[in-house]
Amino acid sequence: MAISETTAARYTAQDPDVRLMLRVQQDDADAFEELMLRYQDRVVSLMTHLVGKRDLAEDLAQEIFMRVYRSRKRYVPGSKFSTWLYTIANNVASNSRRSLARRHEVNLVAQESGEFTGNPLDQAAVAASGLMPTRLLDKAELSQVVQLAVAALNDRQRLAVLLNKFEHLGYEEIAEVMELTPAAVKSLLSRARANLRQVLEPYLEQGTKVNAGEADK
Amino acid sequence: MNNSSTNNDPQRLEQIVAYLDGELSPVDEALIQRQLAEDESFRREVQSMEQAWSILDALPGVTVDDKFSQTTMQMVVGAAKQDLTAQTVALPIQHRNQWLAKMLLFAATAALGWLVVQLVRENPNRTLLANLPEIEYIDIYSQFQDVAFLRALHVELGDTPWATELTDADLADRVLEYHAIATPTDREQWLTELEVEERVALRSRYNHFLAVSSAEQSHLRDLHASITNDNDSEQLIETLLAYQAWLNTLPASQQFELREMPADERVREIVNVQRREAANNWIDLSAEEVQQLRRVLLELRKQFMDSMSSQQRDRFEAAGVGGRWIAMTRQFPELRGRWRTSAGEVLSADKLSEFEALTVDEQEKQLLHWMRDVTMRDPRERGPGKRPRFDQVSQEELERFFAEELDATTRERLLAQPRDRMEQQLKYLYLRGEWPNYGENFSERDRLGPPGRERLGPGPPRRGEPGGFGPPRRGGPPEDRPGFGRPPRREGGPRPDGPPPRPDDDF
Repeated sequence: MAISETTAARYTAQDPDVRLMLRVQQDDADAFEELMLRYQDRVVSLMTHLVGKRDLAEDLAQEIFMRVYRSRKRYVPGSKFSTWLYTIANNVASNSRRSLARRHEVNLVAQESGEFTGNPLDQAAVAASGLMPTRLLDKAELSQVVQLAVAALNDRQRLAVLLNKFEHLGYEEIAEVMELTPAAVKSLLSRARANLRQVLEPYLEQGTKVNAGEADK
Repeated sequence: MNNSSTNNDPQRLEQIVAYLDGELSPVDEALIQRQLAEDESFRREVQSMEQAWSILDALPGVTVDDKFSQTTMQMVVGAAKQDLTAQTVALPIQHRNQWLAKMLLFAATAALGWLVVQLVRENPNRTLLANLPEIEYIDIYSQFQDVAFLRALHVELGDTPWATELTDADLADRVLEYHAIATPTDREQWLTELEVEERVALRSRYNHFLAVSSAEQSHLRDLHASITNDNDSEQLIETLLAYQAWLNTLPASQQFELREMPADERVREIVNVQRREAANNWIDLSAEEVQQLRRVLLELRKQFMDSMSSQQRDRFEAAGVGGRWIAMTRQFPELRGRWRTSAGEVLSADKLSEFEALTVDEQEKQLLHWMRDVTMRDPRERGPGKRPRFDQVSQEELERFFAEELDATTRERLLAQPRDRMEQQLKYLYLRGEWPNYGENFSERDRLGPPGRERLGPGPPRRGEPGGFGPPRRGGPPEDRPGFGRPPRREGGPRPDGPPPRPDDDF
C-alpha cells in the first residue's frame, strides 16, 4: 500500500526512531548502531519468548537487524519504527518456526522443558501446581510459573500478549504487525488473557504479594 | 474463584480486556464502570483479569551482552562490503547495459524516423494511386455534375456521330486506357509507362486535384464510381471520352459557353451541333484553295481593322470567327460580296457550280464555313499526330510565309529582331497561323498569346516556356484550343505522344 507523504512526515516528526532509520537509509552506521542498541534487548527478549531458545533467539534477532539494514533503501515511514521492526520480527519468527517444523521440531517450548505432553495449557497448569508450595513462592519461582503460562499460549496469542504487555503496542499496531484486523486482535488478546488467568489463578494473590514485596525493596 | 461467567461469554470477556487495555470507546467504558460499581462479582472478575495481567511482569527480561552488538555490527559491515563489491563488479555491466539501452533507443528512434520519412515520401504516391482516375480525368469530370448528363448525351445523340477526328480505333484505345487507370492493380504499371512529359502533365493535374476542396474531390470520386459501376458503364465511358475529344476541338470561348449552360440545355446544344455538323454537306476546299482564300481574308480583315478604333479592334479580336464575319459584313456589306467573289474565283469549276446550286441561305452558311475553315484549317490539319515540329518546317516554306503572308509592318518588326529571335518568332507565327498585324505590341502579345485566338482572355504561358504547364506540345488539340485529359495517341504508337494541354484556369 502506498504511503502518503503526509503520513511519512507525521511519523518522522513524532517518532525519533523513524528519524534514526532515515539516517540509516543514508548509510549512517552510527544511526544503525544506536537503533540496534535501543532495540536489541527487546528484540532478543521477544524472540526468546517466541521460540523458547535464547541462542536461537539471538540468531534470529541478528537476522532481524540484518533485514532492517538491507531494507534501509526501501524504507518509508508508514508507522512507528517499532511497528515496522516487529513486523520484520514476526516474519522472521514465522520463517523460523516453519523451518523448524520441517525438521520436526514442532513444539519448541515442549522440547525446551521436555516434560509436557497433551494440551499445553493443561500442562502449564499441572506444572504450575507442581511448583505450588504451601509457602510463598520466591521471585524466581513466580517467574518460572509465568514463563510456563506464557509458553502455554499458542504462537499468535503469545505474540499478541508480548507486544501488548511488554512493547506497549495498541490493538491497531498489533494488527499491523500480525496482519490482522483490530477486532481480531481484541478477540485474540481476550482469549489469551483468559488462558493466562486460568493458569495463573492460584498465584494471583501470590503474585500481588511478590510484586508488592519487590516494590518495598 | 469462579470465572465461568466470563469464560462462557467471549463478548463480555473482550469488553473487560479492552477496558483494562484502554481500548474501549467512552460510551462502552462508562457502561463497564457503571457495572463495576453495581456488580460485585463483575468487579472481582475484572480484578482477577487485571491481576493475571500484572503478574506477567514477573516474566524475565533479556539483556544481551556486547558480543551480540559487535557480531551484529560485524555482520552489517560485512553485508555493506558485499554490497559495495557487488556494485563495483556490476558497474561495467551497468555501463554496458546503459550503453546498450542507449544504442537500442537510438536504433529505435532511427527506425521510427525512417518509417515516418517513408510514410511521408510514399504518401503522395499513395494519394496519386488511390485517386488516379479522378486526377487523370479531372478536367472532363469537372464539366458535368453527374452521369445523368452523359446518359442524356448518349440517348439524345443516338446514332449521330461525334464531330471529331477521333476514329473508332482511337476511341477503343482510350477506353482501354480508361479501364487501366480505373483498375487499381493496373495503375502502378500505367504510371511506370508514362514518359517524362506525361508525368509533368499528370503532376499538373495532380496539383489541380489537390487544390480543389475535399468536397469536390469526394464528388469526383463519386462521379468516377458512378461511371464505372453503373450498368451502362461502357456506354458512359465511350460517351465521356468522345465528348472529351470533341471538346478539345472547340475554342475556349465555346467550351466556356457550353459549360455555363444548364445541363439539359447543354445536352441539347451539343446534340444540335453534332447534328448540324453531320447534316451539313460542306464543300471542302483543297489546301491550295485554302491558301488563296486565306490571303483574301487577311486582306479584307486588315482593311476592316484599319478602319477601327482601338476599342473596336479589341472587341473584334475577342469575337469568334462567326462574330467577326457578322461584324465585318454588317459594317461593310461590300465585304460579303468581295468574299463571295473571291471564293468564286478560287474555287474549281465543279465546286463553284456546286456552290451556286445551293440556296442563298445555304451559300451564306457555306461562306461562313469557308471563313472558319481557312482560319482553322492550318492548325487542324496539323492537329493530332500531324503537327510539324519547329525543326520540321522547311526554310523555303518559312521564306514563302514571310514574303507572302506577313504584312510589311510585321516583316519590319521581325527583321529588327536578332536573327535567332527572328527565326523563332517567324516559326511561331507560321505554326499558329497568325494575322498580319501580329507585330503590334509584340512582347506583350508574346506573353499573352497571339491576337485572333478565340480565347476569352490571355492564355497561360506557352508550353516549353517558363511558367508553362508542361513541355511543348507535339500532339493534342490545336494550340488555340484548350485540351482535356489525355492527348491523342501518336500514330502507330502505343502511348500518347505527349501530355494533354492544360485547360485555361477556367473553361
